[in-house]
Amino acid sequence: MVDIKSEYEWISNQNLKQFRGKWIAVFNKKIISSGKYAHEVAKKAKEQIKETPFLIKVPLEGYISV
Amino acid sequence: MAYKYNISYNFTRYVVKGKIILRPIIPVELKYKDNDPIIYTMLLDSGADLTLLSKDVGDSLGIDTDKKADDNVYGVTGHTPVIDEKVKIKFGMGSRNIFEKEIPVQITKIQGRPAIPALGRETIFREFDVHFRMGQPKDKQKFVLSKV
Repeated sequence: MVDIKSEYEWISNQNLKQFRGKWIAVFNKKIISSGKYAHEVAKKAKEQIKETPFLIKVPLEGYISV
Repeated sequence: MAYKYNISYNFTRYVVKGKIILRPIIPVELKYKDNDPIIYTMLLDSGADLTLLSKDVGDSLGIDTDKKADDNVYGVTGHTPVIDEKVKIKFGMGSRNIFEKEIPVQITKIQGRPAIPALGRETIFREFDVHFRMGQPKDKQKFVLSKV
């Protein structure tokens, strides 16, 4: 079972400039897929992991900091 | 008032042009019928009547987003057609304080709108008293969902 809180804290401390405005899928402190639309990112994530994918929308402007 | 339990979250801090914006964002598991669930970060949106998902989020859950719209939602930028559906949501803290329920949602017919899935007042604000503690010192700035 993935620790979502820990994953979210980890991603909040990453430089996500290249993903601005995109969806990213995070698993075990790695970005395993990214893209403009959620269904594409979810599909790519499911091809790589058996666990429930965790998708985050990276804001177009600014950066996340939990 | 005694609550059954409290779920406390830190605000997600967005730094925009040097200013810090606090947003109440929650990781929520969504599941449609017997399809595989997906966890999304969702904005707890006290200004939204219902939970609102974009077409691409709806597609990812296996919802038929190409069917005829059931309704329209009206916002500050105009209106958009939506499909009415129900999905199971699940979120919480630890293994005991987990909230799980099927809730009504609306799915737009536009990819990427809304930009982030919005968790509206129905059903969440009937199930929880929601406290936005933005006026506290930084280490105590939290939003808390207290189960009624």
